[in-house]
Amino acid sequence: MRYLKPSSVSEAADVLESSRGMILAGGTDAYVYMAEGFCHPETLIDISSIDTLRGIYVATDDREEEVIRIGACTTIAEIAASQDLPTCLRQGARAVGSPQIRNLGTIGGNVCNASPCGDTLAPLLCLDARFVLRASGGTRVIACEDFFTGPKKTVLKPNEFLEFIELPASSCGKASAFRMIGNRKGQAISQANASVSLVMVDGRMSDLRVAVGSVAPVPLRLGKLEEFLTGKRVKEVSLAMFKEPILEGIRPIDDVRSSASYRQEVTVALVFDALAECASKDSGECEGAGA
Amino acid sequence: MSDRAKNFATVGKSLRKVDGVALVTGKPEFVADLQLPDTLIVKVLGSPFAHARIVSIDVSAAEAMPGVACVLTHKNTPTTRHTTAGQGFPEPSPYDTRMFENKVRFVGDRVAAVAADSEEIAEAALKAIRVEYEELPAVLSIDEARRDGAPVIHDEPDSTGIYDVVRNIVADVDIDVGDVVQGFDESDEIVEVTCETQYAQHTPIETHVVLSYLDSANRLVLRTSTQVPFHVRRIVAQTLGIPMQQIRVIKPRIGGGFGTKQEILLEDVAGLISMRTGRPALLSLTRKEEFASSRTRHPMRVRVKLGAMKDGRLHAIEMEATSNTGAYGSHGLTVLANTGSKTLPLYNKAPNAHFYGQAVYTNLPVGGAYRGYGATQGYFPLETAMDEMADRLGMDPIELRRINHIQLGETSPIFEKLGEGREGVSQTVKSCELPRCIEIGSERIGWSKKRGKRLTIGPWVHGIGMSIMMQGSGIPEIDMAAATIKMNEDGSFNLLIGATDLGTGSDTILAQIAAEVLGVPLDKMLVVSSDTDLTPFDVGAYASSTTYVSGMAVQRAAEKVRDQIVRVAAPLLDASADELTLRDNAVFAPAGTSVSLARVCQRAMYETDQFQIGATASCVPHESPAPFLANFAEVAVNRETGKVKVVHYVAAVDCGVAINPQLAEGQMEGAIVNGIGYALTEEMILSSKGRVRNPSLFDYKIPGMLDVPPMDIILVESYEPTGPMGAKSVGEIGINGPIPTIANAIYDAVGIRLTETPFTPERVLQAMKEASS
Repeated sequence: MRYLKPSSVSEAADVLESSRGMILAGGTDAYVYMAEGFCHPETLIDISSIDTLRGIYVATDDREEEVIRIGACTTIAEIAASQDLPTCLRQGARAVGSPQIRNLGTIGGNVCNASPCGDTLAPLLCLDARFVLRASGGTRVIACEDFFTGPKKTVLKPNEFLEFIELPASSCGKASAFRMIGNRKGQAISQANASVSLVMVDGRMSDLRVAVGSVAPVPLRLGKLEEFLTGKRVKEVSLAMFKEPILEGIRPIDDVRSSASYRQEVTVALVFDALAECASKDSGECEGAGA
Repeated sequence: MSDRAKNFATVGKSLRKVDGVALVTGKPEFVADLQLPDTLIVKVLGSPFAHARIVSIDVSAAEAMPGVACVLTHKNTPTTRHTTAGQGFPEPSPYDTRMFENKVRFVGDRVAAVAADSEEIAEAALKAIRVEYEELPAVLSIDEARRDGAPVIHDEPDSTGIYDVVRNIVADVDIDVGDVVQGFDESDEIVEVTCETQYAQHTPIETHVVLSYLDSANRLVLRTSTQVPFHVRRIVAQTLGIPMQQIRVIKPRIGGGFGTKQEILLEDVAGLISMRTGRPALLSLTRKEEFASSRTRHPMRVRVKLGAMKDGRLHAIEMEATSNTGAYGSHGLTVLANTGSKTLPLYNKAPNAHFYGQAVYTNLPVGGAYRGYGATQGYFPLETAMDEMADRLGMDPIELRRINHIQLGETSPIFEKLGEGREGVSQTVKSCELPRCIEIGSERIGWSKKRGKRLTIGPWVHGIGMSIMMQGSGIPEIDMAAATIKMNEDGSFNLLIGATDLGTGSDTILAQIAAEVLGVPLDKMLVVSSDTDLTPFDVGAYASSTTYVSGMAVQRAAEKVRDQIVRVAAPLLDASADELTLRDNAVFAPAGTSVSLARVCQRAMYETDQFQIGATASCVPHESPAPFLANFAEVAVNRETGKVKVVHYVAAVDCGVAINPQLAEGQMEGAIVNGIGYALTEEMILSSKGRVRNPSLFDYKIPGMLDVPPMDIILVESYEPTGPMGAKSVGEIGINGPIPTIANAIYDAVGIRLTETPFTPERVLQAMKEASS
């Protein structure tokens, strides 16, 4: 096996182009896969020490809009601790693995691993995240919604890697919350998770996003539910009203962690709980990105 | 603290473990830490089928691979039937196992073993073994096992000790006190509860591992992670058909046992490989293999029926247990018997009692010894039924238990009727602080303030529950332990014990007992334990026996040594031997004059009437005094997700005198966390073909630190007159508490009775839904 450690993004893109190797960041998934024999890469390209891939700051995106930019190699622990990111993303990051895993694992790794139960995926989806993908020929930008194509499958081409994640600057003005249920407190895979973001305007829900994970091959936005809730006051809605629009949207499976029917039921409870937390604050609480 | 315990100098103190520093500084103390040149790595081929006959097995390609030293199958290994259960001889478990066989009975059953220069070569050689199987219909539940025409799992003619081969019944137990039928007729209120417990595993951090080698005299040395070194020596000799004197078993530090290492699983294979090749052999199970092919807690279905009078007095108790022992009958009879014998004496006031049950074979993972040993499965329905009975009678559950539980000076006919798979031993209770355990525990949890209040915070509803229980201390008239103490001329002592420290701290507490008798600080006791060449016999660490049985052997040996010391010291002090006392490394005369222990030993070794001051003593217990425990838990149940959180757990335990209070608390804490996992998250999930679907700690969730609730462990001391320094056991009892205590707290919170473990969010939510519809 060859181990390469490029020192810049362009060098990384070049060696990926020529070697078609496997990208290594924190290694918390990659090493496990190799040890278990799920993959046998001939070349490992370690991007974990490329400085420009790390950090959370304000930038201007390809559409000349102000965004919060997160380097793909920013660790999960850094995301969890950041005061500059929306609540739901920090809560999702806190739900990942153990302290050791969060200290090594990266947000880019969590995204590109594309596990349906990845705990940062639903938060990114409900925050309208966009992903900047890098290849030796340049970059392309893709919406979070279009990135995931199946369990552990994404639109990434063999010569591409994730460089940045970008959130609209406005996402910090939104209230948001993440909820998950696992079979114990730490180091537990989500049986289901849910993330909600919204803005309260005169006591009514607006600009609402609801995303759920672990209940379909990819993280899902629940458009029907968003539509149903928009413009309503939180007091007007009850858990029972949620059921139909949620169950219509999700396609959970039975596995060793949970049954499909429990995933359906608990998803409704998690969404409701997340929504209740959002509604209890009327605006976002990050202190301003890049401060 | 009892008055008699107050005067101890060493006993009753939370002294540091004698092996603690070595462990925390990472000294190479465990089995696999010893690296010998030319060690072969052994890997085992497991069956892919739950039930199959091996039609043919071709190992020629594997044997031909460079680096492969030895391949074992049923064709080239001894065929002696034996049990893997490391119990006293003759073992009460059936002889239904061979090293290798032409039939496999569960997914993971042993088909072949390869020893090679490296793990990679051994793995490759396993893949090169060609096996042709004839798949047989499999028995995958306890209900299928006894059905007419069910596949017979042990149809071989040479197995012995099986109760009913054709109906797959390993063991059958049936005992009566009074007449329960009439008892129920006469009762004012009847409650009946049936509970089912799951497949669960011990998950010691160190899996089963053995290193075998031949010493310079060509004797086989087995350095193994075991709870039962002397049973390993006997059963390996029996299995391999070699003289026992050819074998030496050494147990170094081990990374936990919890019962799964009361089993002789690997030592025969590694040993035979060393004998065949002359080379050291290391066999270590991966976590996946540990889950698939080691041992489990017997899953059970247990029905309890209680009859009570209006005033709450129990009038009749019936318990019926069906135990799934899996593909082999290891501990099948005794775990089943303990389900009744360790639970029913608790409610000795009922004049009518009936226990019956069967242990059945299935083509599923194999049961074995596991902390609690059947009592855990029995207390779930018993204490659930008591809670329900209190509800029906409109009584406080504490009050119902108070008027029915066994008390100081009382006995139960069950003690005599039901023992270790045979008749038991009658005994009266000589120490019991259960009433105070209940009182102190209920105050600490806030019983009267919180019970029935259903404090609600968002979707979370709080409730509190309780349960009480007893266990035993060793197996009376069966267990045997011995200790040897010899004195050195610097006033130190070697303490040689067969007893097995699993991380429990037994080396420490046994040294404390000896140090107490001999009047020396702990560091004057040099402990060597668990080496069949160097230490006297001990059955091993199981049945909560070590403190009580091995401890008494140590106390007796120390008393004999003390007698020798005072005899030597008497002329030096110009006093008579019987008026001398030992303390502070010296012998004291009533006048206050003293002579050091070192001086005494020097005299004995070098000066006058020389002899080695030293003695060996044994203990066979005549009873099994019970520790008592009152458990209380506050839980919060999420009405929307079904999640159960343990908010606070209180355990007030009477273990007699705690020889080392901190270690006793540690045993309780560990047992309770172990029990919380069993109650809430741990479950081996089996496929429809009998394969373990979650054979990893990734998917089989034991509690992590974040899941450990605030716990109050309260040692409510009594003085057990038959025990060493007043001590009883504490190792197992704690694990019985969490299931019924949490179940009863959930009932207090949301009004549902859970009868199937673990109480996963899914099961809880389902039960709440059923209750509301």
